[in-house]
Amino acid sequence: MNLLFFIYASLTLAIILCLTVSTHKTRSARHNPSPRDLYIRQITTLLAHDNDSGERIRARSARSRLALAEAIHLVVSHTYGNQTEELMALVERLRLDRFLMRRIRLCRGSRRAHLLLIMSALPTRHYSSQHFMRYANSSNSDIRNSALLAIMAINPISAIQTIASLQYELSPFDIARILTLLRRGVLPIAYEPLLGNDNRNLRMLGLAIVRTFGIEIAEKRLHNIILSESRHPIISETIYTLASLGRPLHHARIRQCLGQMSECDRRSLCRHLSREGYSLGAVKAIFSQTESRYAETLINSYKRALVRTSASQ
Amino acid sequence: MIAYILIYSLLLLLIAIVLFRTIKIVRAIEHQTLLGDDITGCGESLGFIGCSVVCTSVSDLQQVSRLLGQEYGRYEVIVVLDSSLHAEAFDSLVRHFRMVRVNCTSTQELPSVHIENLYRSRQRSYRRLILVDAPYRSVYDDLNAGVVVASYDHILPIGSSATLRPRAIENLAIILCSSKARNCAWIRSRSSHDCLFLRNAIIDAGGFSCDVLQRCAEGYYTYSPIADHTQTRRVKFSLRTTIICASFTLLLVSSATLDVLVTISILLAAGVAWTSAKYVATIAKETNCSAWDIIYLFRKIVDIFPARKFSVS
Repeated sequence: MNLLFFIYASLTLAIILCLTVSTHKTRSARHNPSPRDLYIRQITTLLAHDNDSGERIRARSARSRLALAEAIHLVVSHTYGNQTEELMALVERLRLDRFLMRRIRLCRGSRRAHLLLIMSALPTRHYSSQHFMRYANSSNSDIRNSALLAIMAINPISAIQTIASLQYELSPFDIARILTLLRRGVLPIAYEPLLGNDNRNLRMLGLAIVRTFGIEIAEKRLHNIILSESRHPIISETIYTLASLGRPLHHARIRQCLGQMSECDRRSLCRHLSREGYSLGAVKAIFSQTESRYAETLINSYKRALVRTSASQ
Repeated sequence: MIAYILIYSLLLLLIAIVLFRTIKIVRAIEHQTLLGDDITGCGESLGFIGCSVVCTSVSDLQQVSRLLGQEYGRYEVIVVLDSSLHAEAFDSLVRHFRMVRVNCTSTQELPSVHIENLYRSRQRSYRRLILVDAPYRSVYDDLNAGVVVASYDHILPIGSSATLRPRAIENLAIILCSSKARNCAWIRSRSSHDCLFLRNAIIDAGGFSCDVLQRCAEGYYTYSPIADHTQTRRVKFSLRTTIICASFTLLLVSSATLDVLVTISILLAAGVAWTSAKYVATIAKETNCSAWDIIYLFRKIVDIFPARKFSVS
């Protein structure tokens, strides 16, 4: 009995001790300035054409190397049109790419995904897209997507082929992450080959680019997609993209596509159009009488009430 | 001897479950932080996922302002309040956010709902805010009034004690578009017990009620916390704390007759749960956490079998 209690008590006390130490570590890390913040300052100075400051950046321990890699990732992902030579020299001098690849091999799950994402921001000469291919086929979607970003960042010229060769459908979140590469200037904002391609992933990415950057001149291509496409999710996404751009929707093919949608989806589109500021006439042109009445109620709710009721002020 | 083995096995099982939940919640928070940093500013392109936060019993200006501070594009806050019951609070909301009465006609989606008046803000900065004047009958009727007015496809009910976590809506959108959760009728957080509902599912179920979770088809559980509940009905808390203290006192008194070692073992198990809650609170909150936060999380971590009944706090 006493032995049982002794084992139990030592186990629980060890757990309590571990949790308390972790809590204190988290608290103290929050209060003290992290090495990552210091590195961010040093990297921004380096990028501001102060070439000598690169020599002064030191990272001896594994922890400080990781902090430096994270700092480079943060700076690169929040800036546009950086000179990569200085960063590449820094990465090579401190062998950050090799260090990260070693860590990627050792880690698992979301930690590996995070390291792959950091790797996508590091300029490197030693590693090619082939090194990340094994992670691009992972069953974990986070790892898969981070590896895809790393591959595209290392080899931006073959980005379209890489996406076209994917065996799975990219989720809207995956597409949003690819758009971050476009914002950084790693990939070109070339929506035309994407919209013109029959591949589902490429088309969805093209639509996301048109929507995010508000490319109104893509209207004709969007109508072409609606005319030629047979997959409903892509047609629906295209109609929503046209609505986001505020373009007219009174096309016979759009009316036909709306007829094939479920009632819930049509009502959802009605709400979307009223939010986007479409007039009642524009909505009536594409919807049935019942749905037009529903849309009228929604659109009217954006207009000021002029008739005073007893309950109102 | 068999009784002692049984008691220790049960206590160890409880500790294992508590630790499992703690690790899951902490990992979910860390995962959220990592993903959130990667797609900063890409919220617009997350697959047209939008969320309407419906607030019931919320009359505090500061709470409404905090709810409006979420950095996600497709998002609105619907405050449902009875102007005859909370005349002063209602007036202050109308004045502070410069609300004007707009046209309001019932869409007949939920026939039992009665809305007196609908208000939108004149100021562009508050265009996400909608104020609904509806007679108070129950919390569920308030939520139903919000659902009728909501223009997005997902509904997040919020009570007076809840504050959305930073990037909560963005994180929910990530969960929705990167997992199997997209077509589920509801998503429930295991750590904060908040629920996100699909608007169509609520309409099909005939509106909100205490058994709405059972009436909606299938749901999805996540460990990511959605809202922080700061002051959850203090009276209830005090009552429960008193009951716990009383039972421990009884336990201690009876330990003389039963066994001191068993009493200490139970206290150690409670200690593990408490330190776990403290650790989660430290990770989850960027500022210093109060005792109330720890008590709240303690309850959520120990609450192994959450109620199937839907409620808003």
